[in-house]
Amino acid sequence: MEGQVERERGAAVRATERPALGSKPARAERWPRLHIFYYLLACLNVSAIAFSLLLGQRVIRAFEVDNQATIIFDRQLQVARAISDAAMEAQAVVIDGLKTRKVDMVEGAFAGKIAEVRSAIARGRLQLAESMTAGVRRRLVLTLGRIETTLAGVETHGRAALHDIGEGRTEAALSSVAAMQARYATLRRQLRDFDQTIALLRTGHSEAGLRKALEFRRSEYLIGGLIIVVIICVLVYGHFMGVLVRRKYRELAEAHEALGQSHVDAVTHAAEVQTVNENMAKLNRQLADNMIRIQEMQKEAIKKGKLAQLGQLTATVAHELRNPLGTIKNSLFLLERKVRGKGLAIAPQIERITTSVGRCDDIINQLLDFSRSRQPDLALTNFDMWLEDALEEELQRLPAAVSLHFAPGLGNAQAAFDRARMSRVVVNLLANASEAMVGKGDGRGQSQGRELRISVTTRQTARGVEMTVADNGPGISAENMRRILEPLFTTKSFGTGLGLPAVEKIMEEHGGGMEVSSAEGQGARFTVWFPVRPGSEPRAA
Amino acid sequence: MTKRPLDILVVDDDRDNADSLAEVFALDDHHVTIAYSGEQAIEAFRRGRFDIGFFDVMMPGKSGVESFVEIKAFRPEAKVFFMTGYSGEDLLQQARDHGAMGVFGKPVDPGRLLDAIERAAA
Repeated sequence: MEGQVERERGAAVRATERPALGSKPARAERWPRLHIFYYLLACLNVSAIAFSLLLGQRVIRAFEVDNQATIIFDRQLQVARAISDAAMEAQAVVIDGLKTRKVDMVEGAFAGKIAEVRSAIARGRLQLAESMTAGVRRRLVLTLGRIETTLAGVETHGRAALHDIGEGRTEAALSSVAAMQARYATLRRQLRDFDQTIALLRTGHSEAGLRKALEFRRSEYLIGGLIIVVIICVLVYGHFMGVLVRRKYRELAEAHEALGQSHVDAVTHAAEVQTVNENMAKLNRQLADNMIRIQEMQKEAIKKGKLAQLGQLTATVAHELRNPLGTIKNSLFLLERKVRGKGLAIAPQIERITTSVGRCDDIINQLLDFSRSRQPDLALTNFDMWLEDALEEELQRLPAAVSLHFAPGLGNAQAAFDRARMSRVVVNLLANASEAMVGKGDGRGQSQGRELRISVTTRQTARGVEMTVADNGPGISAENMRRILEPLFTTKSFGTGLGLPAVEKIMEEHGGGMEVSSAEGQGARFTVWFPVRPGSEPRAA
Repeated sequence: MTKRPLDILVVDDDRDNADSLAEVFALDDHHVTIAYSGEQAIEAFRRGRFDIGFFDVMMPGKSGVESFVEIKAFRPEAKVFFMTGYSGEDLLQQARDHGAMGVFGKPVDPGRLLDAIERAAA
């Protein structure tokens, strides 16, 4: 039964384990994929940042270029203005020379102004060399070159005019001034071109800047979008991570719980196994006990069977012997009466026959006491009063040398016992005590001058009624004490060895027992006890 | 002490026992009748009257107690003592229940029987 339960239980455990085992790898696979997603997300994030940084760099660079261009444009315009101003002044100096005719004074001023122009051109060139894109620079440098050539013409004609004035060649001077003015006009035109070129460049530059700005804005949108995407991805990732972590945690908790449950199951199982073991051990013990009990019962049955046979035999023998004994007694009585007063002196012989008949009767009684086995015929009786009567009757049979003392201790207490059987206990114990002290007239245990005393006491104890019969005879040796309750063991010349076993048997039939205590030379005490009522529990003392 | 002679019935299947007991009673001048079975005892009681009866319990045929119960039916005043070598307590209790005067265990001391006769006759 127990084994079947265990098998079913095992199947249930396996059945619950199977899906759990199957589902675990699928769940575990989600983690690496999530890592890839995480790396992708990180890459996206990094590229967004890089892109953003790059864009910033480009914006700054564009801003720098724009700034630089503006500065250069402004400076070139200043150069153009300086050229224009100095050239105009140089021309004015020549015209002043023409008017004043003071060439010596004018020549120096003219050369100074021309040098100023040249210096401005050189400054413009230098500035152009430092920056600007190659295309723009080439164009401006080319223009500046042309301006310089024109300036050379202005100078040449200016000098010629001044020389002519100095020489007094007015006509030639006027012609040279006109040529110089023509060259100056060219210069002015060339300077306008220069200005226009710068304006165009500036416009172009501004347009490029606008385009670049538009481009930057697009990039900005792109980066913004990228960032938004990254943020969304991070949010989604975070959400799923949260969900996953929660699920993992739950699974972990469930697994832990399952583990705990399986631990509890294991503990319960172990406890069950232990209980089964204990039960088995208990059953084994009970079985062993039962076997012992059966053996004891068998022995008891055999003993009882034997005793029953013995009882039947004894009963038959008793009946058959007692009749002739009766006849002997009757005949002795008749003999004694018939010879009385006739001087035949046969009294001792008659006495001896009487004693012998008595002894035969005692043997029969002891055999009957020991072999009879029956439920005691219990009757509630005042034990002390009953015992007093019984002792009174027995006193007649005790040798004169023995004194009997009775100390009742039960008061009016009633006890349930079989009076006929209990009287056999009293008879046997008294006979035992008396014979230990004085023998059966066979010369043993003589008094040696001291009082031979049998004390009978009763008392109520926790286990019921107790009666003690104590004598001050020779006591019982340790060797004899061991064998005292063995049937047929006797120390007397004429004893069946059945008296004390019979007493013990009768007490056991009453649910009680017998105890003996003695030391050699200090008398013996026989205590018999039985419960006040059959089956009653002993009261606490 | 002048004793009134009594009519006594002794019942025992053991002839020696019955005869010797009869002699003991006869020695005291009583009129003794002997029956060796229960049936004879009943028959004796039907024919005559007895002051006292001494019945053995265990006998072949009708036991002493059975016979006594029958006798009591037609002689309720019958006074009977029982003597037994060994017999069941139930049987003795039955005898007491039907008014037996007493039970003596065998071997009976004849002196005690004579005392019992005196008490019963008194």
